[in-house]
Amino acid sequence: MKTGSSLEDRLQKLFRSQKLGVLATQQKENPYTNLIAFACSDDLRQIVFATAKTTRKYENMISNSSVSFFIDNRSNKAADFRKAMGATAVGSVRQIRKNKNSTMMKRYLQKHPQLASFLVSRSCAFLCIDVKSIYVVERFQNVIEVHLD
Amino acid sequence: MTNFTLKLSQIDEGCKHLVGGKALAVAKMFSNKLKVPKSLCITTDTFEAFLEHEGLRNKILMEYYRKRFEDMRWEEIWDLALRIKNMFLKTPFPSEIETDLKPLVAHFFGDHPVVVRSSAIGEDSAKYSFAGIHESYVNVRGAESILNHIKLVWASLYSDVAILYRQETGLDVNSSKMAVIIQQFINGQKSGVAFGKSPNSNAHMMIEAVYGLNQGLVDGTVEPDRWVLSRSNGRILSYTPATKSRIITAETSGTTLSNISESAARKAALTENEIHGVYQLCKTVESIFGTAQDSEWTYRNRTLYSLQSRPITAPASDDSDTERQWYLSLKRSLENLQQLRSEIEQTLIPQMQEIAGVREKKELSELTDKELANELAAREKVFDKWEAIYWDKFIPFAHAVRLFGEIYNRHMKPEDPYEFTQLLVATDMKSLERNRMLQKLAKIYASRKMAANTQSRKDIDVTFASLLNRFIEQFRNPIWGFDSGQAYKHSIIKLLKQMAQSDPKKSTASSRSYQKLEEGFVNSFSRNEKKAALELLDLARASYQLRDDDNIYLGKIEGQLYSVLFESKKRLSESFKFDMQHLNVEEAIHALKNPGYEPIIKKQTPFKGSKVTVRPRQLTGQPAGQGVATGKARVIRTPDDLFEFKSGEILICDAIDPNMTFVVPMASAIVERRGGMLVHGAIIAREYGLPCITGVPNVIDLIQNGQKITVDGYLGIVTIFQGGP
Repeated sequence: MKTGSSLEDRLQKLFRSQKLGVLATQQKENPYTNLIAFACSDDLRQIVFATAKTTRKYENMISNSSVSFFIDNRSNKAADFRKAMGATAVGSVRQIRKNKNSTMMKRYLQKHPQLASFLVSRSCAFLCIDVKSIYVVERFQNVIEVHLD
Repeated sequence: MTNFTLKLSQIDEGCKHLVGGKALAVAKMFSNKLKVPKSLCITTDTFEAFLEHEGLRNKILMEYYRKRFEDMRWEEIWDLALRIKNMFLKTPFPSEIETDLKPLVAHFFGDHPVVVRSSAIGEDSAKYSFAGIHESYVNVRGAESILNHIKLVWASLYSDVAILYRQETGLDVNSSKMAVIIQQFINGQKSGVAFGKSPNSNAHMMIEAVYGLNQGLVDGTVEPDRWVLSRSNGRILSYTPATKSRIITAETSGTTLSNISESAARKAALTENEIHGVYQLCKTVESIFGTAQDSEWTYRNRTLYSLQSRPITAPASDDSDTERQWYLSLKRSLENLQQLRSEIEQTLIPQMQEIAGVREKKELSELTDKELANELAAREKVFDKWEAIYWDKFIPFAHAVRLFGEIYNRHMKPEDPYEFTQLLVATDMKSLERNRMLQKLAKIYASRKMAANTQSRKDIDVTFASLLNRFIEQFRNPIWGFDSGQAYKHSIIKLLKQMAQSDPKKSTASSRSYQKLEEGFVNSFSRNEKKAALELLDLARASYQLRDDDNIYLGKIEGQLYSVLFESKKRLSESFKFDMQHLNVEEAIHALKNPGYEPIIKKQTPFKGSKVTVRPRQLTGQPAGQGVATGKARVIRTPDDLFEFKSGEILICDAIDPNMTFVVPMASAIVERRGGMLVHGAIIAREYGLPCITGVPNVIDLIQNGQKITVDGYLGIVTIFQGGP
């Protein structure tokens, strides 16, 4: 029997393969979700994204830095129930400086070159989630927690 | 436009995607005036419509991807195939198809029996030969039965063999389509296969023939006569007669294997004229298809019928995957299994019992190092021999349970595809006998405290000691690492103390009513078939029981080897002053025979954690015993863990073997890494009515001793709660 790929490999592949994910924020009793374009570090400890400062999610994050971020590789077919993998990264978010030479900004723009002008806009914030844990769901019911700290 | 059925006259090359390679080949032979049986093709459109009906396609996908293939054992693939086959059987035809198909089939074939054959897309192509991979059913009669057999042929797209074959060839089973060709059954008197080009020489052709039907030749039950002919002129170059003793013929439905008459056995299956007829057929089909063919044919009243034809594919270039080949060889016929049973019961088990029962002739401590090395080598040889027999004979015999399961499900269409195991558990397994004896000992042990006076306590002690000694003699297993009988005794007493405090579960086997199920099964057969159904049930019961008992006997033989290994380790530890726990037999022999040689010890590498903490929350496997239980995990990694078992704990192990099952009556649930519905963990859990999950990858690495867990035996989910030791 062939040895299956490790969880770490599968997770990295998932984060590399997806361009968009769902960011969950909240303020007081009001939860909120958005689809965002992201990039991440190889060790999956940092996830970066950009958002306009006038948005509800930005407001929420200023008020409460605890966020979760969900990505998955579903194809909207029945096989997804078993074949798709979903991961929820949980951590706290902080605003970071836009530095064209920083690894994370380079990585973000390499993945989303069409967002370059959006990112450099003064009204746009560049944010980083410092991931504490990732909850991975595979094959419908298999749940593994990966704690990074 | 949807084409649910096509007649041979309606099929041309453009229909290949609808009818598959086999049906197209028959249609081509028909249009070229070859004699082929009257045939009707059920197209892939029908298959597709059936899959969409009641969401069957999605249900299959849900099952098919339950577990990664690289994590699956052969047995689990068989389980997967069984569950999918049951889905096909339980799904009704869409009414719009059944309304058309039933009268059409009834009108087309009347009362004639038929053969229902697979014709998958891509099957019988020059690139892939699916010979023997998909199912065909011979001598099926009546529209209702034919429709049922169409479902069975479709389901064979997901048989264990088909799944493996597609895995190997990289074909996606979920985009595969299956047409079915229904052919009027020709009750052939002589049948065979012909290779238009011999695998050994491009200038030769090869014909194989048997009396009766082809099935025996194809599945290897009946040995064929063989002729090698010149491809250019048909001259016979060689003839290899078979030792003919058996023949496959048609019954009221299906086929039967019987003995051949002595006079027929002496004669070649084909006359020279008939050989020439087959030669001509080969030349004709080669000219039709443009390449040499592998043809199946039959003679009935001197008429030669061409049954099917496929291009000759190159044999597999390597035979490295012996494990897979061995697995495929497990697909045995009823006759073959009956022969195997007789050999196992009459010869092999008595021999095994005799060897397992041999007492030590001499104390091992009295042997010189050289004598000990010789004894170790001798016992290793004996164990290796029996281990090989175990794989060659006993494991294939376990297939009788599978065969029974398939036939039970085909007849009963039960909601639970493992309902058939209920009919098998009413057998007296060796491990249950041992567990009963342990429970008796625990009861006596508990009664000591209640003893009214010193005398009665003494009486109890005598009874206890005598029964304990008998138990140790019968069931001692040095594999668990006890280098002395005393250590084993202490561990047993520790276990008995624990058992005495608890209320162990009882096997539910004897209290269940199997009669109703058995009656239902037997009554689903016609009067003529009932005897065969009971024979099959009897065979499956023998197989089920043996699956447990053979492990006990093999365990004892292995135990004899380990006794000597323990003595060797003890001596070598004293000489070299380091831990010999992982010393293997070869190194021990070498070190004992060569004073001064320092043995090399390969230590087992512990499970490596990565730099991040990976903690499971939910693990999934195959639900193998219904129920839900929450408790503390007892992970079995060493013998000590087993003897530390506390009542109510959840047994977590790599693979339960019958030598370990004595703790099961105290367990509240079982979780096993090894997968399969017929593995010991699943069998014993059902026996005791415990929630059980099998096939959870890496479970003993992912769960820690003492962690609180919940086992959901309905859904196959283990939930691990935070905290723990």
